[in-house]
Amino acid sequence: MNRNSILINVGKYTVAILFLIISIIPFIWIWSSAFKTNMEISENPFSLPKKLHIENISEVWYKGHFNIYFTNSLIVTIPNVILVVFLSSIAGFAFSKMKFIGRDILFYMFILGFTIPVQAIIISLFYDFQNYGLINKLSGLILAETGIGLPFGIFLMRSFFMNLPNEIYDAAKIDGCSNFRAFYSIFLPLAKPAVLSLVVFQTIWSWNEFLLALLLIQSENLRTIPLGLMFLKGGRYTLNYSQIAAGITVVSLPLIIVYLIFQRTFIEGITAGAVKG
Amino acid sequence: MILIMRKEKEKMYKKASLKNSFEAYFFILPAFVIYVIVVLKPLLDTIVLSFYEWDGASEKIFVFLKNYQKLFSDPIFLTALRNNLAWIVASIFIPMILGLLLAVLLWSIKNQRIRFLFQTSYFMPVIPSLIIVGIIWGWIYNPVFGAANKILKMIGLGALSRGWLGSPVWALPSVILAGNWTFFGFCMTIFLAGLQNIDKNLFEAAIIDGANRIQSFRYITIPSLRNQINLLIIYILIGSFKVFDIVYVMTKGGPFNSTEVVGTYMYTRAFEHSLVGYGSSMATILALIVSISTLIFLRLREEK
Repeated sequence: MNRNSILINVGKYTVAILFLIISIIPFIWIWSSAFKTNMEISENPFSLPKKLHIENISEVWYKGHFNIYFTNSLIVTIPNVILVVFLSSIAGFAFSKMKFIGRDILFYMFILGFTIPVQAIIISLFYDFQNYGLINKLSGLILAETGIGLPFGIFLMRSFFMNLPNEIYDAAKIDGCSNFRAFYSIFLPLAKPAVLSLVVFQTIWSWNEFLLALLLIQSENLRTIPLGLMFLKGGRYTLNYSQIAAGITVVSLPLIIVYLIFQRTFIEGITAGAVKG
Repeated sequence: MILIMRKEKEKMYKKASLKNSFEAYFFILPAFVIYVIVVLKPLLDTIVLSFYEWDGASEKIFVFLKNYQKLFSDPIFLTALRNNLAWIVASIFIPMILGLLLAVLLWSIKNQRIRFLFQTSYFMPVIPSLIIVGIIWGWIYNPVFGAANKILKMIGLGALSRGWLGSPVWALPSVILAGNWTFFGFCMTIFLAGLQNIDKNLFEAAIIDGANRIQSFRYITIPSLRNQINLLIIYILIGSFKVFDIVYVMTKGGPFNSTEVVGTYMYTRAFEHSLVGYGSSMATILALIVSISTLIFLRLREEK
């Protein structure tokens, strides 16, 4: 009996560790390749670098313009997250606590957007943005990502506010609070967990967004990180492997470190957004 | 007296509600304006465009349903649709079932820290963009130095090694597998959260009744996770129709359209071949399929 349970334990941990390796080895392979020469990568793909070619990293960062792509990604992601979080919170509050004419119809209109894949709107979005002069501008990308992020944000914030008792709202009103005051000083602080989930979800989504950037950005100096990586890779037969590995490393290593520091928040935020992909 | 007070109160309430209405509109307005510009108007325009022939520059020609007729006799579109369906089936059978088994496995590890260490690792592939994932897996499948062929050689199956992404037969399964790699940890996390809500007494009662592990898995674990299973299936349905990034970066739909999905085919037709109306008809079909799937999903979520 005892031997049996030891065997079961050994089997259990073998499987668990096997999938741990499958999950992390591809990252480690690419990261270590970033410090090798092209020759080393094709001849000894799995050995550790003989000599650390740190210059690969600085080359891709400066000459490969990843410093510019990184800045562009920040310029897009930060305002996008602030806009989505603030506008969704205030609209979610109105939808959950305030009574007004046409509330349900307006809410369903947002829900409709929540069910629409980005591909379904990009064709007309492209021609509209061309007319508005928003093509090839980071502000256009921010606007597009905000519009697409709002339906989910409103849905999430509304569900959270709905679970807070109406009595809080009534008490605030009796004390003479304006609606904005009730939202800003009472409900928003209570909604911290939902806001945190939304911040994580929207940050990851915006940071990784590719299709809109591919469509709306044309200049090389306005590319975001995913777009920069795509063009670095170029054709399937591009041979500059150490540059590609270095590009992936400067982008993914910091991201994974941030993830490892805030594991729980990341996992909760991303699974809270289980509907949007 | 009471009547007057009540009337007064009603009046106050009504007034507040009307005032509330304007205030509420004011709260929603900024979100609504952006939403209309970015989502609602383009959506309606795309549906309208799907009834036209247009190259993006010259005059639009109204053709009514011609684009749709062409669509359903277009072999590449049908391949793309079939590939989306293959994506759904594979995602249900590989990452979802794997996620379920791994969740049960981790759940039986009592040490919270070790359990969380595994969970954190399995979730890691969910984090980076699909462009990164696509490039990494492109390397794994590389015919010269890729890990896939090396591993096959190591275990004595070197005869099976090939240029995975260059083969019209193997490219699709290879790309799907790369997509699945980013998804099993997600499924595992959803299931693990579900398992933590199951009443432990159920299992104890089952053991007292003489149930073995497999029986308690079949009769307690699976039924208790019904909501999570439904959630993930609909999630897979939606996600698999939206697939774009990973295919675009790994194969661009090739070789010979063998990995084409609706998303990539629509993009090529509308933006590279300037068949804007034709692309719009694909977009409309896609929106229809995904919206219906999502509405079912939301219903299930509310029930939970």
